Amino acid sequence: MALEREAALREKAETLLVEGKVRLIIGYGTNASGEVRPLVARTSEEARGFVWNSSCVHNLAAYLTREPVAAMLRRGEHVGIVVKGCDARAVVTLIQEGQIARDQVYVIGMVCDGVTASDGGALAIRCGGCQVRVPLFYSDLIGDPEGIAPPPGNPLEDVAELLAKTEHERWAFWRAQMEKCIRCYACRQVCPMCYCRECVTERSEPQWIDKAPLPRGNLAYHVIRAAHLAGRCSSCGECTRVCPMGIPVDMLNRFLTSRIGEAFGHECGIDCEADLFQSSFSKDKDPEGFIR
Amino acid sequence: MADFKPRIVAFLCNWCSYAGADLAGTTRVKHRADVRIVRVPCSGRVDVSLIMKAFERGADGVIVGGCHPGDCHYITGNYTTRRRMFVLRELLGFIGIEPERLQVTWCSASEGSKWAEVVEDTCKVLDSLGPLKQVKDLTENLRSEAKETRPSGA
Repeated sequence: MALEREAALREKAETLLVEGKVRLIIGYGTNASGEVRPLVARTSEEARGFVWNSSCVHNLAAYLTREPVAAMLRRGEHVGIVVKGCDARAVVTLIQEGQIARDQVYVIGMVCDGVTASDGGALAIRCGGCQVRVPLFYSDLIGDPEGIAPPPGNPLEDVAELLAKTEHERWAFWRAQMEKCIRCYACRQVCPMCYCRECVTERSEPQWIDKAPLPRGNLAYHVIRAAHLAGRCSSCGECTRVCPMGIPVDMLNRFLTSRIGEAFGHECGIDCEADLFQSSFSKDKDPEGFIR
Repeated sequence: MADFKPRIVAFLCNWCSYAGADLAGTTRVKHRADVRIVRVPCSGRVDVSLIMKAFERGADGVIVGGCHPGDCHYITGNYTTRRRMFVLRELLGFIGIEPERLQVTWCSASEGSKWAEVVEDTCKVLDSLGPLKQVKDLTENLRSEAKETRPSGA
């Protein structure tokens, strides 16, 4: 199945580049050791290096707001991008937020069987029960969308486990995580939603977040980051994947995403025209029980 | 815990809650003096970073006060506050900090007595919760580590 899609993807990518519809395509390739890595193809020859398998974990949407792709989009050029269902949500959110223009991005949506948590390992937790194996947004779909069912598993398994514990135990868990964090900002750099030119962590007057990689500032960083991503996170799990200290950063995001879904009926990255969670409201439907 | 006095930081909007708190003062409504008020242009100004900073720097509780829905001086500022505060309370609970430490109130300029009640009630909540050990614990540990690493005899 995956091989068929890989062949179809290469063919599609080659056609797009030969016809000049896009200047480049951001997809997946392999490095010298055969590991899957992002690959940018500018020629049809390079496009033959595209791969598609369960190790295609990266959310490539992050490249759209980073240089030099961002500069190309500013110049009005067109680019192609290979996305999974979760990544497609990120692309839609970027369009909603006015960061990229819909007609400049050619989205090659892949029907996805889920990706692995580690090389050759089991399916990532977030892939369990995935509702977007067929992307909700694409210019072209690769793979057969018929009869695609969510894979088994609960995407909130680890979150539910933590929620079942006492407040005290939850704090002990997160405290230990805050001690591990070295503030390398890999989670921020890899996140397609963290595209601010000047991040709040870089501000020094006033300095909202302590810069030293010590628990107190680490707590502020992770809480503020999670709050900024509320209603925007596409649950691609990249932050957790790239963390060199093994902090399950995306647990905060997946928890908030599920609570926001329950309380506001909000799901991110579905409709390019929809209102954004944080800048919209419902006068009489938003929860208010906690306010006196 | 008997002599614990909670420290509360209140972010109050210029147009309603701040005036409400002012009214409580001019009409001499009594409430506990454990609250420090920061005047902000609108409750919509109160970013998560302001609240985290307050907690970091020793607040045991935070009150965010805005105009009643529909009364916002900037028309819709308090509606976005409502969403943001919901998110932060959820987040605090998830990481193991009692969400009750973040109180949100709609208090108009004529509700001096309501403001006094909010302060009294928040004080009572914090009396029973005690100091915000979690965040203090993060820095206490830092101090003890610093002591350990200091060369002996220095």
